[in-house]
Amino acid sequence: MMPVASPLQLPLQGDNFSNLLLSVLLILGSMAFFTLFGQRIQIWMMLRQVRSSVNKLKLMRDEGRRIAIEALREFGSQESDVAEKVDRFLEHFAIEPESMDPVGVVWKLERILDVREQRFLDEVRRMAPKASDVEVHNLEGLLEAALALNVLYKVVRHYYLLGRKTSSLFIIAQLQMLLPLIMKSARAYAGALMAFKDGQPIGDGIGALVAAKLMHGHPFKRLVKDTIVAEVDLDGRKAYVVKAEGPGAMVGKPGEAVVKLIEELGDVKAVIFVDATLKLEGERTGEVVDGIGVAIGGPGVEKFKVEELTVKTKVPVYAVLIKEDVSEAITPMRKALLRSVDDAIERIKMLLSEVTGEGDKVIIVGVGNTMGIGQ
Amino acid sequence: MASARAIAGLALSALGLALLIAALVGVFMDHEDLAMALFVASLCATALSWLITRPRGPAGPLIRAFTVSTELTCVSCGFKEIREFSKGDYILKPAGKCPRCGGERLITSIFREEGEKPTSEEESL
Repeated sequence: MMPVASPLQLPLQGDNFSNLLLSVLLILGSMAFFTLFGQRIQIWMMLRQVRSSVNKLKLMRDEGRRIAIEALREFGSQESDVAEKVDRFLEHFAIEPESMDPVGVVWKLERILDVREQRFLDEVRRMAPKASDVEVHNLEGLLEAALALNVLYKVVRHYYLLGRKTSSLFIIAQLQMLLPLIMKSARAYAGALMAFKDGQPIGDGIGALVAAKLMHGHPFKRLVKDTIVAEVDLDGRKAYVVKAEGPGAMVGKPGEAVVKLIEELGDVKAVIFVDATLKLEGERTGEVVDGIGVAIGGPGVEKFKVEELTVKTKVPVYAVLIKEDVSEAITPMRKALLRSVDDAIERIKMLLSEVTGEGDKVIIVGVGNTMGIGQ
Repeated sequence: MASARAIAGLALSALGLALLIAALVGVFMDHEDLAMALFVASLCATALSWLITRPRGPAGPLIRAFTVSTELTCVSCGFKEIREFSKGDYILKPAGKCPRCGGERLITSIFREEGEKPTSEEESL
């Protein structure tokens, strides 16, 4: 006899119904769980990642401090308070001038930077009494790199702890997104430590190296603080080549030097700045490009001085730039960069042939840190 | 070594995915026991893949010590010599007599060899 289905039997009964109910409950339960705790799980994972970077930054900071103390002790300062002095140095700060009324703010900033530099150099001389002037400047560079690592560590730690305290996804997400760039800078500063300790030329010095090769063998004189000039005959032009005085870690005052030279020489046909510039991803290290404008990096004081004067005197300003990565700028110079020196000199000559005539006076400025580069 | 681990991880991930699909097919064909076994195997393969490919220890030294070389060139005969950098070296520093012609030598460059090389994709763009 064939079983006859009861007309009252529902399609889902017994085991089928329990299974469906269980599935629906599981799906709803998972949805509720991820709605309530999904963000917390995300925050937890991001915090874990940031914490790992904070730990790495701490190690880099500690290593920077250790290398700085070791380097200072090499120059005769065996006192136990060197570590204490270095710790104090690492916490040093400079307050930017008030810019509500921007008139004269550049000169105020210059004054603050000058005092800061002098204070750092005096402090290094006290900590390393046996160091020569060149070594004092290199040690100052080393301490600046250690200071930068300390600042990076503290800022990242601040936002990590703030994000943890507030459980704010937005604070943590911003920090986590920026971390690859922050870590890249930190690795560059860490790589700079040994270069400054040993006085090796760094990527930023490529502009100074171009100037050094141009002026080599010619008599030079100090023009302004830490900055020298040599008169060179370049393809029939009277070229005044300017650079910071090496081989210590100095950048000099290229802007002030150009202003002084233009005022002294009068009829200057062109000013050419040679400097390193940051390359974009995909560009080649050591690529030489030229353009218009004052190529002086840093806080802008030196750039401002030249721009102010060239507006009045109408002297055209050109720039020859050599491309490099941020991590190459403060670590020992790569061979690819060195090879670009001759290309840069050729580009300067080409530019001169295009914009000046024989017998014209021109100024060529090699901008950058001249550590490990003579003249 | 790292690339071998990456390939093994990728293979295990693919295996995990294949087992998961097989488990789903098993469910639709009413082979629930087989489907459950395949699902567990899929989870194991995925977990193993993660274990193999996860980073182990620090990616590299935190403070990179670069090998820096100094190149000495004779001004007279152009004879070049490359040696390890020593403290006090700087570019355009006089470096004594040339061993070949006795002329003056200069430090002409100080450099590090290694650096990030562009990938084939970067070069093609």
